[in-house]
Amino acid sequence: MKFRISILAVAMGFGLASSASATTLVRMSLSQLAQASSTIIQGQVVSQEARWNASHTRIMTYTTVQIDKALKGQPPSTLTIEQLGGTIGNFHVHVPGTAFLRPQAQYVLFLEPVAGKPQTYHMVGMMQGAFRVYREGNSAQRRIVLPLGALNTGSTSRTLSQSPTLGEFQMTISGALAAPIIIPAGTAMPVVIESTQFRGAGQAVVIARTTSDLFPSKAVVIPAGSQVVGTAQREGTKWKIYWNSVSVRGRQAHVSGASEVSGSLKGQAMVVEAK
Amino acid sequence: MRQGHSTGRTGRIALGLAALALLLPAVLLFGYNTFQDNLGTVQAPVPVVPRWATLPVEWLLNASVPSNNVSGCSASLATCIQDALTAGFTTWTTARVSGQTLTDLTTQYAGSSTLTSPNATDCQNVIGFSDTSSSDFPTGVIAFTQVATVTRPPGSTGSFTYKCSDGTMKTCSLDDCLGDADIEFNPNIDFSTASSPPANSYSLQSVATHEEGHFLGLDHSGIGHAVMFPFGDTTSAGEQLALSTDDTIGISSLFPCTSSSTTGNCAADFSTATGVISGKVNLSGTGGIFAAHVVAVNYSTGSVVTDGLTNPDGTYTLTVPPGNYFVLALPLAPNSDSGILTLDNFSGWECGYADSSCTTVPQNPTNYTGRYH
Repeated sequence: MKFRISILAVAMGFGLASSASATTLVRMSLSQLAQASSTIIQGQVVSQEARWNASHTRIMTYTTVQIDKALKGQPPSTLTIEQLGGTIGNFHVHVPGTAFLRPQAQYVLFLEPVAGKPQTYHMVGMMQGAFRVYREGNSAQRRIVLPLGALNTGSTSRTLSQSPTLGEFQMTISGALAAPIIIPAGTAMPVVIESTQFRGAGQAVVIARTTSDLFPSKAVVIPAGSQVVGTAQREGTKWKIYWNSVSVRGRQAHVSGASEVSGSLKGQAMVVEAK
Repeated sequence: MRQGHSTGRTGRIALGLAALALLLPAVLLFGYNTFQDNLGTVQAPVPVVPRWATLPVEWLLNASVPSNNVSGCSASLATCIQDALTAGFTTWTTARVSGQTLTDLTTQYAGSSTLTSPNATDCQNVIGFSDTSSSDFPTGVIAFTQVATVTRPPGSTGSFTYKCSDGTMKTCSLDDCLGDADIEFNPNIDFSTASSPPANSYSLQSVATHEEGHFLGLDHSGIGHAVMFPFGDTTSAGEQLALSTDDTIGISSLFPCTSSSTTGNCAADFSTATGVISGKVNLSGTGGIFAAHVVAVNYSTGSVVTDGLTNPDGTYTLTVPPGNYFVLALPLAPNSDSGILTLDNFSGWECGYADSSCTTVPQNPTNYTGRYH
């Protein structure tokens, strides 16, 4: 019988470990989830409502979560999560990959803000950003459900392979948040210069924003819209820009790279290649 | 324990259930995943599965790419995009189970559209690259499909009608119809129509094939080598254009060839060319187990064939090609928040979670929860 178990195990191990598949989602490590989040909370679902949008073209589900503990950011005591899809009457809108948050259940949630809607968030990586907390039947210990069996932490290939206790999971998140963000050499960041601050003749601080979601390693994510800062010096008819830092959801990462552009700085699109 | 049973149609479906019964105080299984409407409600203890009521399923394309994030095309970009999307749909309409086409599914390109964000009520199925709403694409989302379904009003019988936003009335002859599907590709992600996508670009056809699976009625699969597995990457190994058995069974069960099929390239009736395994996941003192991940594994090769989740009442039905199978229950999600049952909870299971003495056992195998968190 053990032989049979091994066969099954090999088969399933392959199935769960393989990334050779098509997709909706980039499979994100814990480090990436933590970096991409503006807010990480542990809390309980207290209410849920599906509503049509203003133009009556989509159904959105709004889930209110009461926060027990903030692990990143400074959210208020409750916040709202906006998700695509929902059910109103006999009309249903499905968006595969959306986490189905169960009423009254507890979760650790990785969240990013919804533009233009204060205190409203969506989940980083859709279902990847929701980790259900459960109380183990035997020990009554609170543990975390890892949605797809295992979770790469992004740090030295360490993988969470058992359902960790809530405390262990929180410590792992803290570790991910404390680790410096290191942009790998060769990372190509498409950016557009958003603004400039001139600092005397022929010199300026340049503020650009990334235009693509970037996943340069399992430990790093640079969401589209991340701020990239550099200094520009005029050299003849051109500007030479020396890039200094990237801000990922408020956390600074050093970046070294240079670009050369002609004409006005503002609005210029270019690719910053990290050295 | 309540043991599952098999209903052979063609070929011999000899289950490993008896063997597994020695291991597990519950016996389970299932199939690919479809959308499941009215899930868990009194009206639908077993979910209603939505389908397109009429074939071919038509789709429109907004080939505008305002973010210039599609590369690899040496001809007209619109043509390259349409070709990639068409190839994806063809993959589904020609799905083969054991070498035979068992689905009567047909799809058809129906022209261009200017829609720039999903509209669930216009009854127009649009695929596009122009959705710039940041809230539609949380970090990590490559593309998404929004599928609208309409369920039969309670108490009604026969066909029922529903109204599209332009006033057009549609008729649904099923219990639950797919009424609208829109696919949007993330404008902040790079795609390629080239046969070998460059670094950091996703194969458009590969991603499209997955999204088109949703468009046609399939949810995610828990099987890593299935097209409907939810994750992908930009490496050449991450490009998947061919369907797995889980995918082909899934699409064929939604649009099965029957003796009265008039569309598609049917080689045989789906119901006679496949078999069914069904039963209920039930634990003493707990009742039916909802959202247990169940997997059919080929008895001889050990390869995973199909998977799925149990219904709210713990029941399941799994369609499989003729053959011998083991059935394995992996995640046992709870009906309440009182605890999640793991393999460790089953007497006789020799290697529960990752265990140094059982290195070949899948690590923490009980946690594929998909949409059911």
